[in-house]
Amino acid sequence: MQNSMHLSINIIGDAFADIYCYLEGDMPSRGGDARLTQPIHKVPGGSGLNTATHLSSLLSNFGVNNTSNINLQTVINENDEYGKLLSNHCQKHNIRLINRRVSDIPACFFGTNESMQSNNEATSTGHCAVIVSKGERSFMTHLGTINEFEGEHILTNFQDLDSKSNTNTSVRQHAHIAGYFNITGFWDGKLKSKLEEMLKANQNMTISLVPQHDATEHWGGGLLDLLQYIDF
Amino acid sequence: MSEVEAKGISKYNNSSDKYSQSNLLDHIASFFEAYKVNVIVTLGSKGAVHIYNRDIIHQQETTPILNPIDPTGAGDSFAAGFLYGYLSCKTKEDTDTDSNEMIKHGMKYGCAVGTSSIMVQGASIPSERDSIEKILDSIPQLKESKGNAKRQKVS
Repeated sequence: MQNSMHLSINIIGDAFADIYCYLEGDMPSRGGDARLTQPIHKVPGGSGLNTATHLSSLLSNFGVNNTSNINLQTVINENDEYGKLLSNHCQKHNIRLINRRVSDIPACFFGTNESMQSNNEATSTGHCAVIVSKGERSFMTHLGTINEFEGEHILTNFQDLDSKSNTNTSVRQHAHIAGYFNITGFWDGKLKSKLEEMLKANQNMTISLVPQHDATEHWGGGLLDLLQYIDF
Repeated sequence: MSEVEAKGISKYNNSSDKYSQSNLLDHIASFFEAYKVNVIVTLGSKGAVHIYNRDIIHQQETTPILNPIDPTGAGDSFAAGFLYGYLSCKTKEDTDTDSNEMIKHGMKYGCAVGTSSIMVQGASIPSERDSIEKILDSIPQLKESKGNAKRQKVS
């Protein structure tokens, strides 16, 4: 890569704490019990966070001659156990976690005014029970704070988020929408106007999207309306 | 997107007796034709395909893994590998690099990182560089398809 190139990668999506339970045999019958082969453990997960983690590692292991930064816009409760797990993980993997847990006051949608963050302690960071039985995985998800993530909360001015870029460096920007079907707040059309805003600010920006499984099995959510802005 | 996600979005009716992967990909290509978007469908151990404008542009096979440890998050690691391959190709030489070349590069890295990740327990644990490099070295050559559509949207 050229020395003068800076990659600014902005991942906008879900982050969950995954709680793993490895069953000895089959799933228990209704009202029954089952033994686990190892202690229950919690690990960071969610499509947005997983993608950011692997990408950060690749850039650090393979991207020798370029500079880069990875921002992850998601919504967590930073004060609960799961939120701390996720924010510590991001710090460890050089991912800038931008918690978009904002209140519904319109003024707070501009910039990164952290003082306007919602502080509802009752809402838990999203978490997911992963039951592994005979190699098959079943998921049970509590969306928690992910339910508070709205399309209109997304920050679009990535230049402001990017502390490493400077005027002498050419910047390549990419936005990646992860876990679309997990984030119902993206389904109302406001994400579309945010994508328009991003492309207006930087016509060379590329945008990708990973839909993720739709637990409602409707496979709608306004996804097809967004494809005109998506490169892949 | 995964095969299952592509089926859901494109409303593929898999109860048909005529099911085959080829029929499915044809259905997906037909569904997304009007949207002029590059669709990358991951096919598990069979790799991934790039569909655009009703054509299968490329098919990238991957190295088979006999005893996978944990497939959780393989799609996310594919996405990370794809983005790395795509974006690094774009910045490697010049800005005129053909977008199809960038997608090919992305698919190769996507398959290598996705495959490597299933040998590690935990979806958010990155693979070691050596593991990814071994798969990159052994990954089958990408197949060019009959389709000759050119990418339009990516600059």
